Amino acid sequence: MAFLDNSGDIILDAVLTETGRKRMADGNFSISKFALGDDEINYTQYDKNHASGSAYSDLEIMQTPIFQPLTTTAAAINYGLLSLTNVGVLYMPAAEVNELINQSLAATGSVYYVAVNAATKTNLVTDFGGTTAGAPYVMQAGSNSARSVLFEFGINSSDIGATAANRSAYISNMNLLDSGISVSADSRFINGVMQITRNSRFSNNANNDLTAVINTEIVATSTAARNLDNYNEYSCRCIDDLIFVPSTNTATSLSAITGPRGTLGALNIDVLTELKTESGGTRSTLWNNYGRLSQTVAAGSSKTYDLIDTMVYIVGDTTGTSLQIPIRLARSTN
Amino acid sequence: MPKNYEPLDTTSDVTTTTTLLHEAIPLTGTIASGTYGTLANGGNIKNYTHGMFQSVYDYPYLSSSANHIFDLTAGYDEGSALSGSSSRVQQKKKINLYNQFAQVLLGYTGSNNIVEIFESDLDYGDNSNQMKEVLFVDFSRLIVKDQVKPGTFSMVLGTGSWSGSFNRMEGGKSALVTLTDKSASADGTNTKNTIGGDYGVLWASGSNDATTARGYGDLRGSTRKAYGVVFYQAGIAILTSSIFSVDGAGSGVNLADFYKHPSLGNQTINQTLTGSSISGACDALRHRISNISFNNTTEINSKIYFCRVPHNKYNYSANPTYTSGSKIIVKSVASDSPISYITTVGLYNSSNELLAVAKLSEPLRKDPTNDITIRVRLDY
Repeated sequence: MAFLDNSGDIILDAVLTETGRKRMADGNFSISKFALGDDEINYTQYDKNHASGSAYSDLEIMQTPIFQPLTTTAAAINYGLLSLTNVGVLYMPAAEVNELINQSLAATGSVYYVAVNAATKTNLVTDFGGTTAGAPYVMQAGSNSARSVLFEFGINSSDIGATAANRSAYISNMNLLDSGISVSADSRFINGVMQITRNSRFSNNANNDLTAVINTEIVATSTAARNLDNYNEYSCRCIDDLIFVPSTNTATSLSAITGPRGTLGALNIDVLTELKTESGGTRSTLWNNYGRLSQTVAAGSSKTYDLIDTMVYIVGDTTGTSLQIPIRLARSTN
Repeated sequence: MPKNYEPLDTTSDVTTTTTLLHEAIPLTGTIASGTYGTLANGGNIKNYTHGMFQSVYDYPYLSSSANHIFDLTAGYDEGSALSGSSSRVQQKKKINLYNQFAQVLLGYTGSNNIVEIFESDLDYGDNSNQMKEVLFVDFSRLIVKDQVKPGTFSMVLGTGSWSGSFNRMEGGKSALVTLTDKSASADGTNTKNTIGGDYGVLWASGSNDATTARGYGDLRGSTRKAYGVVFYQAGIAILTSSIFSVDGAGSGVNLADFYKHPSLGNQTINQTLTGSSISGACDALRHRISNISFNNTTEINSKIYFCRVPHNKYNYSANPTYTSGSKIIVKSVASDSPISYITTVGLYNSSNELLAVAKLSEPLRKDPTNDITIRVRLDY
């Protein structure tokens, strides 16, 4: 894919996507709306303090070469421009994984382990340090287990205190609360995701005492992801993240977000039945085709596992804030 | 995946237009007669076991790089003086070919459904200037595209001896004759509409010399003569055999060696049409093609979408680099204007499926002080 010629007037290079051609063949090609993207832009090149003045702040950005369009729907517009009505927005929510509380799953080797069956979970917990030390690193697919991948949306800046008033002023009143998210998962392995239940709670009091009632439930309905091949998209909920700065401290150890928090989500996944077979059962060809067989995950351990690495994408419905969760599916083989 | 979409109003934001794109197609005669081998065995010339026609490629046809340029064939009407005894070579095929072209391009006439006869004039029903013995040049869709542009077709043929088809003749007269539809026009002037599309007449221009060549007449005067027709949409040129023989008025040249048959020796065109195979007649014509040129036409139907971006929309971005520590990079204080840079326009259906995508050649700054209309044109 080459760059577009940017030596003269601005030109527009337009192509039909694969989906567009398919819809044309079906006889239902009907364009009804548009959206804008800026995927090539690296905003860190914006120099607010340019020596020659603000007219030169975006000099580097304006010289960004633009790729020719792709006909695949993937990579066409990954993030997109936003139509926030309030021009006074200075802070936008970020998304961060919370590994700080007892209900959260922690990454090991920068991936999150999902055991496809109970036996695998037991073995992994043992390999990762035993019942107590190893438990934070493993969750079981399709199970409302004690731990799940927790993530928070909020203003991740120390500029603003994490108070209830600031949560309203900077998030709720700015219409930046991501109460819903889209979760995209690879349908070749994953046939359902688990979202946080409506009655879950995540809050603290003035003494920083945590109330964390976090349960998950399966979301079985999905649609084909429109920008990722082989992926399905699930609509999931988030709950209010009511962790505020305690009166006795200036910070809290309960949240991954520094400033005002908006919402909290939880993620687990369910996998295809054929991936769940135990070590004595028939090994799915998916393990061989897409993963690695009989691997060890801990030095000195004799336990081996089939592994498949996959990525789960989370996007806030309101702000488009995105998060990528690297998942490692594991199946014990001995 | 974008989160914010802007609707397109089908009455005010979408319009259609049609444009015609023309390409000049120059075909040098050497492609037809010798670039890739000695006549009649050029590697770019494909003959078939059925022997009904011959294909000319721009490169040896066994190569995947080869493009099909045109086909040649020959035929005559069953009412032609050439139609006769069963000793005629491939007579049935030649008659069938003539009828096939005639029935598709001109249709039938009368209660007995007799195929029309090609005529070298625009009134194909008046039975004058009939062309009963013809050579067909059938151009590939690859180069004709939607149609030949009327008024641009030109074919230069050599009427010299077999050994020197393009050489100057006695008295310094040129052996080249140019057939052109120059009098036809894309607005329909001097063209005729038939069931096979529009056609124009191919008039002979003796040569570029001041002296008229060998009795072919001249476009410049009342002596001009027609020797064929060209069907624009079909991309088919039809040449009367009389271009290589003396016509009824005694004009033209009677080439004794129109074709040199490998075993029978020199043949006039009539002898070629009766005594040689179709591929032999095609070889003879190829040998005499000096040049062919025309402009093709591609009709482009376009739909234009006016993507109107209001001043108060698309000023922020979900791009991960847009913030640093949650703070918007392009702003210092809340009262600063948000800024975004547009590089991509996605066009979606009501189900949010991306049907088309357009890229700007350079980023377009968007902030609350400007509104932008991006004109996206999709060609079909």
